[in-house]
Amino acid sequence: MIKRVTFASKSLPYLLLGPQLLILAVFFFWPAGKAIYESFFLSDPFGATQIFVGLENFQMLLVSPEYYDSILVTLVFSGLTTLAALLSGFVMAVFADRAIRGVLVFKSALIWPYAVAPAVAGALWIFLFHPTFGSVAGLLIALGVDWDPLLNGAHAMTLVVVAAAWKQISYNFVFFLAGLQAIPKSLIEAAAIDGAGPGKRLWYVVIPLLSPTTFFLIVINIVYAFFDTFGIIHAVTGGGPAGATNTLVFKVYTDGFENQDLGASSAQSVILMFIVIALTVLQFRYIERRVSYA
Amino acid sequence: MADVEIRNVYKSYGDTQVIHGVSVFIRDGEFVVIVGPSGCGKSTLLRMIAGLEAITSGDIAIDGRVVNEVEPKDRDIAMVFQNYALYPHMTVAQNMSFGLRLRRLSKREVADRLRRAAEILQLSELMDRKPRQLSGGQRQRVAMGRAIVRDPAAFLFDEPLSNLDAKLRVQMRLEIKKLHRELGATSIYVTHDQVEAMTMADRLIVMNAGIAEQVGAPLDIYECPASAYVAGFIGSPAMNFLACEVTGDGRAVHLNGSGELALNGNGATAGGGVATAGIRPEHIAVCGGEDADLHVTATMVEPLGADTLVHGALAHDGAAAGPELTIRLPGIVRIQAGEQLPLRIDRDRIHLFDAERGTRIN
Amino acid sequence: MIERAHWFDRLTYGALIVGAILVCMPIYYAVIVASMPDGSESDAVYLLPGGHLFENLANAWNKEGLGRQLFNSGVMAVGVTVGKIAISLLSAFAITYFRFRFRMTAFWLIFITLMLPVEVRIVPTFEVAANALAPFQAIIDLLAIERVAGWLAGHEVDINLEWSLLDSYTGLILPLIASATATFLFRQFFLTVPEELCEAAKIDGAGPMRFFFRILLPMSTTSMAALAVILFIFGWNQYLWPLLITTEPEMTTVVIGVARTLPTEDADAQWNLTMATAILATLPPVAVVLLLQRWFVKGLVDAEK
Repeated sequence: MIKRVTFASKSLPYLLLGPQLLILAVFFFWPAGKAIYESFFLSDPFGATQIFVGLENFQMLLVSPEYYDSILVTLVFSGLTTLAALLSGFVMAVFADRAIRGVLVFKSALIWPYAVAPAVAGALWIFLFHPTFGSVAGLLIALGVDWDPLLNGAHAMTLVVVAAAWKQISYNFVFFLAGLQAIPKSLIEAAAIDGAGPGKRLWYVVIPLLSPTTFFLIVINIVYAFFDTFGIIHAVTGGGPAGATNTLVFKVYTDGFENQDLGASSAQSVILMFIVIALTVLQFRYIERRVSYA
Repeated sequence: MADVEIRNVYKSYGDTQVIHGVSVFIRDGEFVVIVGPSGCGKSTLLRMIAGLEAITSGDIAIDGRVVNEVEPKDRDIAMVFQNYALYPHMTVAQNMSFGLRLRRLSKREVADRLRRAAEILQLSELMDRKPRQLSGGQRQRVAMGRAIVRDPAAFLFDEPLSNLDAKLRVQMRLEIKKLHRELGATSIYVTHDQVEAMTMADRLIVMNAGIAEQVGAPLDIYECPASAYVAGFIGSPAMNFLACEVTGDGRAVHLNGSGELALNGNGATAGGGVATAGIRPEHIAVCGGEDADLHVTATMVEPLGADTLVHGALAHDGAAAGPELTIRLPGIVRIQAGEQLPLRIDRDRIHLFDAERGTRIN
Repeated sequence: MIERAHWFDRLTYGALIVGAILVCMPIYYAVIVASMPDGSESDAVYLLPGGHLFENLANAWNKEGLGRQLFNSGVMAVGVTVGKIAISLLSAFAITYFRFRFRMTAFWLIFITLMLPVEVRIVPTFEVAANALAPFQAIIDLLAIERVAGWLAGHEVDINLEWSLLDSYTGLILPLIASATATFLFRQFFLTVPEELCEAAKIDGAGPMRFFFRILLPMSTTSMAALAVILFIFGWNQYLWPLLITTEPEMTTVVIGVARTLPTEDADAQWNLTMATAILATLPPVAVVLLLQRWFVKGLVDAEK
């Protein structure tokens, strides 16, 4: 899309685009291209020699049980995080939309976790649930639960999911609330006159009308769980115990920087890029369809 | 101040031609209204004069200088937009003076012109307000103020009143007209509203589908429309059109099985054959049965107070199922739907148009 | 609201209160722990603060390097905010207000970057940061410019471009600017600006840059403010990138500082100080979100439309 009224200049638009395109070229396209390039090579840890190996890096990944474990961990982690964060955000938004008094207080209380850095969020939660220091962990153990996220993979997963979902509730809350407030009051009133109670109205009117928001949030939450949660995992579990929280992004990092396996790391980067691009395309196609219906 | 000449101007977007050769000469100080339905090219023509659209071929000259390649800012014109186009973050004074400041006028000169324009438009109290704090009429005035301070060779108006409510529109119409009388600047005004067109124009340009169908004084156009299109567009309620047969000598017509109606002094240029007769609703009167040219059955009556509009179906071969006719009767006339009315047509004011091309033939 | 039943109101407020408490619990507990004296039992359950909050905050503040870390985070957050807004405004202006040959190409180049975060291409981005001129060096090598230059100069020429961004603010900021979200927000906004404003400005005598600075920028302040809140938080909360690109302690950001003070197996950990540090690290972005809540919500919702 472009304005109907435009300016005529041969060089000015290029000058205006220059800074952004230069930064994108150096810090986006070059690294992305490099990742694709390096995914076809095997390098020694010091990067001195590179041997072209074709698709071998990808083949190695696809036969590596560790990689499948990581995919599974990522799916479980992002699925649970998305579900928990979406549901909590939605429930809170529905009630906040209904509240009249103290709305600003409730909104503030629910919004601020967005501002907490993932790594700091991880620190807050590990503190509560650390098997030796954590007070909530202490309670659980006193209640007879054999709680130990440092040794038990399921516990570790629960902990990072809770921390990650907690941080994302704010985001979903803001969008659901904006979506709810955009629904014309007359529609809700018409449904009420037609005899639908609050639950029926929610199910038959509100949720269908919110579906674009919901779909959008699902994509955003998945992307969030894939990438932005690196800090949580790095600070809380370090991918452990025994790889139980070793997500794909975390593995790219450990393979690339700690194991110095550039080829494998690049191949994983390439796969991740395609996943994100697929998600983006999916979302835009959906948005387009929604627009053309409107 | 200056004259504006449009010489054989064409405009195309890609393969689509939207203006098919328009030529008009607008005299210094004249108030010209370009009127036509939406999509007729009137706004495009105005925007070409302003320099906001490129001219595909032909010339536009302002004060004798061809301006085809001249930037809008250097054409010495000012424009009032339909949605006013006020800069939302600037005050009234800043909005009005923006162009002057860009032209590096001295502070005193700017202040001087602002004060004068504010007085003329009664904006003095509002100079520090932002556009959103103004009513529609006030915004309209600021938009005009922005044009006035520039003291341009020509004012261009692009449907400036269409965003106002009916009452304000009438008031602003008078104000613009008064302003024109005071400033005497050449003005070109685009509208789709034929009442605005009739009341404001020194001269009218009626446009249709990219051509200027007729150029002339409003009443000349009203009394002698050059085509069936113009005849139908100017005047409200619209002119009635009836198929007719012209007598061999061209001095009379037969209407819908009526008797011979003599065309007093405005006979057809060529005799014989089928044509379209145009009769304005106000040129039909109810008469005694024996004088009747036509009979209609009233289908609907709209009493307006000052006059009464009667819609009726012409009796056709005895059945009341012929063409529709609208009649405007002065004052309050009590007529019931279903009533049969004998009608007499003002013979001096029958317009004849070519049945196919729509051009005037009497 | 339609239902006026008391039970429904009670449910609404009850749910909101429970939700708010649950959401606030971690930070409430962090505050409580940060207010405990040194050496208190860490796994005991405390419900009320211990009275040493300001003492611990002061201790955390005086701890080596924290001031510097906060400063670094501030520079990074502000740099990302200002840099991204500036380049995005310019490029959004170019793609909405000009027709030029490679407009659609530029549009798609920017569009592709919309959702790919730095984490995906972390290793090669790190390599670029180690030498930001590497792409140009590669082009030079590829085009054999050295040999051409050598032939021109009559002797051997060795072109070695090197510009390391490690441990620098530039390195912290620039890679995070390389994405299109802000460009699209501004593009979206520019498309809603009435066409007539630009025409009026043209008739008033404004050229493109004057229109940009005098009309478009002042009109965009709301969008800019909203976006600034989001970008500030985005910049402040970065973790992986500063973790990689900074090695010297005086270039570390505060988020990494907090993560580093997390005790591992050390039972003598000073949890109260760690939590005090975490509170100090979180205060600036939380303050921004709460004080500028209106802009924040607008920025969040607009940025994703």
